Amino acid sequence: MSRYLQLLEVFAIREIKSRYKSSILGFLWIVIFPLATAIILSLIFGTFIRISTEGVPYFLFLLSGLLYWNFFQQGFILAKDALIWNRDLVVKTAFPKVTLPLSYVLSRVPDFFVSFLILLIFYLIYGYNLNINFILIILFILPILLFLAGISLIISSLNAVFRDFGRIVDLFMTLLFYATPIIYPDTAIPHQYKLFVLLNPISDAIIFTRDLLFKNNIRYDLFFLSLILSLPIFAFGMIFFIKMEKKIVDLI
Amino acid sequence: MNSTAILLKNVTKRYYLEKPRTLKRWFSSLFSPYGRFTVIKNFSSIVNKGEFVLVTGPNGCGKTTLLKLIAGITLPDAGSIKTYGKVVPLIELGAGFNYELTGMENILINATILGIDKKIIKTKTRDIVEFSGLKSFVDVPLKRYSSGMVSRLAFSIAISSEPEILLLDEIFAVGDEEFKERSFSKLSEFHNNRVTILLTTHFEKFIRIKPDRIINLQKTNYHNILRD
Repeated sequence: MSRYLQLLEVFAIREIKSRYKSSILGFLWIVIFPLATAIILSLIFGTFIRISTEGVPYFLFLLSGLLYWNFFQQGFILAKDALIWNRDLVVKTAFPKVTLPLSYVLSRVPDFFVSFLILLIFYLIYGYNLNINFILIILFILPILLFLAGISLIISSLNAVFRDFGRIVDLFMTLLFYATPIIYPDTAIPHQYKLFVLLNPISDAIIFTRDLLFKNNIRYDLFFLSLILSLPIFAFGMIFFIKMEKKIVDLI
Repeated sequence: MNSTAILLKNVTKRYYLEKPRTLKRWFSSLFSPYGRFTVIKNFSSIVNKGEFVLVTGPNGCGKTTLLKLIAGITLPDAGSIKTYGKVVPLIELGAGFNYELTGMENILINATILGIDKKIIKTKTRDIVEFSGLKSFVDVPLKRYSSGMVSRLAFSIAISSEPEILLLDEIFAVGDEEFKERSFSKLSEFHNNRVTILLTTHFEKFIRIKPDRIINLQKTNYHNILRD
C-alpha cells in the first residue's frame, strides 16, 4: 500500500514539475488556463449568443461550470496517454502500472484548487457574499475523482493497444462538453432529457456548485447520486486495467 | 546449502506481431490483427542463490525476454516461474528517466520504481551520487547529460536498491573504462555477498568475473514467425 502511495506521489509530482519546466510563465499557467477558457467562452456565449442564466453574471456562471469540467477534461487528456508516454517504464520495469494513469489524474488536483480560489475571488468581485457551506463544493471532488479515475483506467489501457480509442474519445469529449450544462443552465434542458444529463457525474457536480453558489441550496441528492454512479465505474476500471495490464506489456 | 533463487519450469513465451495492414487485408486484420511468434520454448532451469550466471546467445534469441519473465514484467504463455528474494531488473539503463527533471529528482523517481522506500532513498542519495561521480551535475536537467552519464546514474541507483536477485541486460556497452572497473568491483562485492546475478551479454571475454554457469539460448527459427 505504501508502495502504491509513494509511486502515485512521485509520478504526480514528476508530471507537475515537468509540465512547467522549459516554460517562461511556469506555474502561472494554472491561473491563466481557467481564466482564458472562461474569457473565450463568455465572449461567444455571453456576448454574441447571450445564453440566459437567470440573472447570474455570465463570466461567473462559466467559472462555476468550468471548475469541474476543466478538472475532468484536463485530467483525462493526460491520463488516456499515460501508458503510451511511459512505454519505456511499462515494458522495461516492474511496478504496478495502474499508478501511471492515476497519478496523471492526481496531478490536476492543484489546478482544481486554484480554479476554486479564482471562482471565489470573482464571486466576491461580483458582489456576492461568501458562505461557509461553499466548502462542500470541494467535497464533490471525491465522486469526480473516482469517475475520472475509472474512465481513465479503461481508456488508457485500451488506448495503449489500439490508438483508435484515443481518437474516438477525443470526439466524445466534444459531445460531452455540449451535453453537460457548462455554457447553459441545467434549467434549460428539456424535461425528457433531464434524467439523462443527471446520469453524468460532472453535470451533477456543476448543478450542485451552481445551486449552492446562486440559490444557497445544498443538493445532497446530487452528491449521493454521483457517488453511486462513480463507484462502480471506478471498481470496473480497476479490475479492467489489472486484467489488461498483463497483455499490455506485449502489445503496447 | 544451495538454496534456490530462481525456478523456471517449462517456460514458453510467445510475442504478438502485427500482421501487415493493407486495405485488402484490413478486415481480416480487424478481427485478429496479430500473428504470434515463439521466443522461448519449453525452457527449464534452476538458478541457485548466489550464482553468477551469464546469459548468452545471438540477437533475438530471448535473452532480454528471459530477464523480463523472471522480473515479472511480462508473463509466460505456459510454464511457471518462481523467484525467492527481492528481484531488481535493469533491462535498460535509464528506462523511465525524465529528461526535463534534474538528476536528483530522477533519483527519487527511479528508486521509487525499483521499490525503495522514501525514507531509505533519502539516506542513500549521497551514496548514489558518490558512486555515479556526478556530484556537480545532480541539479542539472538530465537532457544536458551525456548518454554515459545517464547510464552511470541509472546503474548507481540500481545497485543501491539492495537486490537479492539482480538482472542486468547488456549494461556494460556504455560507460568508460574507469566506471566499468568500478561497476565490476561492485558486482564482485555483490557476488561475494551471495547476491544472485544474471547478466546477458555478447562479450563474454570482457566479463571479469568468472561465471558459475552460462545459459546459452538458441536462435529462434525466424521462418515460423508469421505462421501462427
